[in-house]
Formats: sequence, structure tokens, C-alpha cells
Amino acid sequence: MWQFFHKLGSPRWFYEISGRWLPWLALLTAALLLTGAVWGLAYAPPDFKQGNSFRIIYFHVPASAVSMACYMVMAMAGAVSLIWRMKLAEVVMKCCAPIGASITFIALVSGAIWGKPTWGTWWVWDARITSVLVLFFLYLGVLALYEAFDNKEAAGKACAVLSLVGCVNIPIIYWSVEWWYSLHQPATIKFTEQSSMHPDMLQPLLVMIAGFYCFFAVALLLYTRSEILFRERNTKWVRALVEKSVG
Amino acid sequence: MFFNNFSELMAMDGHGAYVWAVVLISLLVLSSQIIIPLGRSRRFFVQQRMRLRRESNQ
Repeated sequence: MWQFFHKLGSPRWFYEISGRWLPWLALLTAALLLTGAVWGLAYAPPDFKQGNSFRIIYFHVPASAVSMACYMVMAMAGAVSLIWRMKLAEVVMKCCAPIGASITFIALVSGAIWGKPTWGTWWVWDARITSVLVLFFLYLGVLALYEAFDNKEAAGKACAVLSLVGCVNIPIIYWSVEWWYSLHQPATIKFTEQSSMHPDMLQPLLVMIAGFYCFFAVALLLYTRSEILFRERNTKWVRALVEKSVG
Repeated sequence: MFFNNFSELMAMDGHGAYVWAVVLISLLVLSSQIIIPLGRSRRFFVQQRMRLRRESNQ
């Protein structure tokens, strides 16, 4: 276990292993997203109340789920980098921020676009929507905070603390629809209960959720690899890679 | 397929503009998160190769 942990902390080992996984993971992501999107957009039956606008769910729900999962990954990586001073964890934390911001942006925009035909408004300051907006600003905050420091070690520490403190927001988002009277509907899929959605609609949604999670993994690997290259640019193994790339 | 033809799929009973806008925005944002890191890695290799050449010329 400790040996694995130690290895995982080695940027070189990570770069080599992730390079082997990436093509397969990318292929799986593309297959899942394509299947889920075509299934959900063209084959799933329309909603009894919302008609075809409900199809936005196939982007909105996966994006919202991953936007929170990405934050947890960022905060955990931040904690690991603070506690064990693991360099790779700091890189992962930093790389989660742009991906998380993008996916939260999708969740917010798709929610607004869905709100127009369903609720008659683009935006309401309701608990769920506002807390997701705070999540979006937290990601931007981590990005901005990192750039604000000249000393990158201090930047990493400050961002780790910020992402850990921001964790408070995650349960607020999750339970906001139950705690407050809200325009936003409660969760359709739950781990503990039978889902209230018809299987014909649910199956493509599950495929899309899996696809978004895989997408997050692919994007995170790509960002982390490019950051590793830059940070390790003066090491022997990166120089060897550069020489090899000359051909 | 649920829809009878392609134009019905596009129109989605008047909700097409909303649904397809979400699809388009998601596609653009997601692809940006692949293109940006790939571009960074590529730029890195180009710059380092230039550095290598400079050093070997000296």
C-alpha cells in the first residue's frame, strides 16, 4: 500500500501509466457520450408534462453531478498535498479547477435554458441555483488565487485551504432542494430509493452520467500530464522525452 | 427513433432551440477542456525542442 502511495507520488510514474490508459479511457468516454446523447435526444420518450424540453436533463444532470464530484476530488487532492506534501496531489488539485469551472458552467447554462420553457424564467435566486453559482465562483477563486502568487508553493497551499473550506458548499448544494422551498425539483435518482423516472428515460441518463465522469477523468489526466511536463522540464526523463519527440 | 424524421428531431415540438443550444454549448465547452491541455503539451514539446537546438548550437 505504502509503496503504491509512494509510486503514485512520482510524476514520472504517473505520466507513463496515464499515457497507457488515456487512449482507452478516451475511447470509452467518446462511446458513452455519443451513445447517451443519441439515445437521450432521439430515442427516449418525451416527458408527459415538459414535452421534449426535458431532454436537456441528459446534459444538465450529468454536468451537475460531475461538477460536485470534481470539487470533492479537488478538495481531497488539496488535503493530501497539505498533509503529505505530495507534489502530484497539488498538480491534480490545480488541474481540477478549470475542468470543474467548465462543467459547472454547463450545469448553470443548461439549467437556465431549461428553466425558460419549464418555469418561464431563465434565472431565479433559489437555494439550489445560488449554491451552484457559489460553486462556480469557488472554482474561479481557486484559479485566480493560484495565479495571484508568484511563489507557487505558497499558491498551492492557499488553494488547498480554499478548496477545503469550500467543501461546506457541497452538502448545501446536495440537500438544498430538500431544506428550502425551492423552484428546483428534488433529485430524481437516489442511491437509497427507487428512482422516480421511467427506465426508458433513466437508462440513457445513466449512460450520460458515466460518460461525463469518464470525460472528467480524461480531461484531468490531460491537464495533469501537461502540468507535469512543465514542472519537470529540467529532469532527465522529460529531456529524454523531448529528445525522443525530435525523432 | 421517437421522431418521424430529421426536421421533427430538430424542431422537438418547439423546444428544439433550447435543447440544441444546450447540446452545442456542452459540446463547445467540453471540447475546449480537451483542446487546451493537448495544446499546452504540444507547445511544451515545441519550445523544449527549440531550447535543445539552441543549446546544441552553442
